[in-house]
Amino acid sequence: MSITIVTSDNEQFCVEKLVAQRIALIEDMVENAGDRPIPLPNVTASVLRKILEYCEHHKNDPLPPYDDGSRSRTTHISEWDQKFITVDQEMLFEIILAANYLEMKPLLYVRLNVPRVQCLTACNAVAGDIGCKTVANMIKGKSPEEIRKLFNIVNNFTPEEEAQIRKEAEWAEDR
Amino acid sequence: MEDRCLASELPSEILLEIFRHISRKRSLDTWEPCPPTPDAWSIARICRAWHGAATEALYHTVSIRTISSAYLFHRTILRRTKLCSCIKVLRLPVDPSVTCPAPVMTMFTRIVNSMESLIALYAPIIQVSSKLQLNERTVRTILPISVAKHPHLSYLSLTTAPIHLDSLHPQLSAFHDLRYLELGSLLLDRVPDPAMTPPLAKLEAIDTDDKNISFMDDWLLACPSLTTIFIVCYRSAGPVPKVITSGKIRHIGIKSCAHWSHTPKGWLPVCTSLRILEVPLTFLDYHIDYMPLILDELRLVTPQNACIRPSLLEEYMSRMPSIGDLVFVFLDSNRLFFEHRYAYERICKAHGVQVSFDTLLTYPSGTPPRHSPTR
Repeated sequence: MSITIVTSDNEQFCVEKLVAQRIALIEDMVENAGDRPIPLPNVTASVLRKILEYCEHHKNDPLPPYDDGSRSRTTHISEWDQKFITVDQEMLFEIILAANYLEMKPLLYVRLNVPRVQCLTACNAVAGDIGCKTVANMIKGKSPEEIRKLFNIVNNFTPEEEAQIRKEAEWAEDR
Repeated sequence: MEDRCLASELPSEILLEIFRHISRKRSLDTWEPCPPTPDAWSIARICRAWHGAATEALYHTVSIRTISSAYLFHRTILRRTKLCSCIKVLRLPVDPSVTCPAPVMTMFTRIVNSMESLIALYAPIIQVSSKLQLNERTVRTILPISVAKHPHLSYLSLTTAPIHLDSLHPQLSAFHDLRYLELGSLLLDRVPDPAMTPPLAKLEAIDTDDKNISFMDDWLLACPSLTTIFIVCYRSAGPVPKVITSGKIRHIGIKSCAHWSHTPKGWLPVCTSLRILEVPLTFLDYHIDYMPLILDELRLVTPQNACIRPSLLEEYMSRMPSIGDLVFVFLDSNRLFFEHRYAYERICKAHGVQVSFDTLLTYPSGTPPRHSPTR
């Protein structure tokens, strides 16, 4: 059985229901939509294609272990995921934003503590997560200037604000 | 056309999710907090859009290493009181070899009680002036936490220079969510009175001197969630406590010993419920005959530049232990370990034991030292 998803740029995707249901937001919408296509006004076709590729690959993965956020986290990314997420920067952030919109991140459910967490699969949990891990890995060990240059971010702090932030964090400089 | 900057348009929940993966400093002790590494602080200085989420992520776990840093930190939270609501895990600098001076302790106490609601606190204990000492050995102490403050504390580590106490602090019983309690060098001289300090319903792990375990035996038995005991050995071990043979202890960690003869090695063979054991690697050198042969996980921790002969590991493996996971935990600066790492791996694999290596970075913000492992 399959369902139809319509992206923001009006492209239709016919997706196996089992695969589509890996996306929490769609899982919610499928029950109410009946045979009607499911619109995703915040996701473009190119991004959805990538996300469905991810869902297809991870559809049989077990649930990730519970994480209360209190411990140090690994930034390890598996080989397939690494290849999957090797995209240009714009696509990387589009995937992260789409995963957030599609509720493909684990902590939302963990925090809300809803029973649905039991039926989520790892692809729901990790799709947004590997994007975030990838960005975190890109940031690691870099100076503020290097990070700004990497992501094309404009420093909009005033010199006074920047000095203030440095002063506030002086305690953390004691290594 | 101007380049679009998606990175500065990310909503704060995504930024927070990214910042949850920033570099953190890990410790050999699995219960220790993992604060951000110094280089991770870059994220707070990128742009205004990142600053809020970065502050929340960076200030979740605060580990202060020196007293001068503590003064600077105190100054910061006095100026930006909102930070106090971000901080959930706080570690204050501790030198267990000396008693914390009173003015410093006063400042520490102010910091602790400025926080909105901590879930983990690692702090020195306050010693009351010698005039109030109850006798020559026992010192009066106070927790650095005001009454009714931090009711959701899950982890509490109290450290000090070794001092004798006549009982457990009654205030401990106010922390109904306490899962981990470290008593450091607080040496009990008497069995705790359950009427004064009722057992803690959620306490999973206790970390203390092995003699304290004996004094606290009945109290620990009455803690229904207790499964884990970490031991530091300041005094010679007494008889096996009942809690060890009660069937509730699944995890024992022997952290350090003043002398290897003090190790409560005799506890291991009689703890039939033991599934996870964490010992210094050199434990094998002294007490190989006491090493359990059935475990879900064995963690061999190598804190300093120390190692054991591979033949010793071979001797243990020749006894055909059934171990689900054997984990070597070591610092990346331990050159001696790197020399033997592949020999250890070969021996474990030859005996069908799954082995992994948990490397802790000594230099998380810089270039790690180069090693030339020989296969």
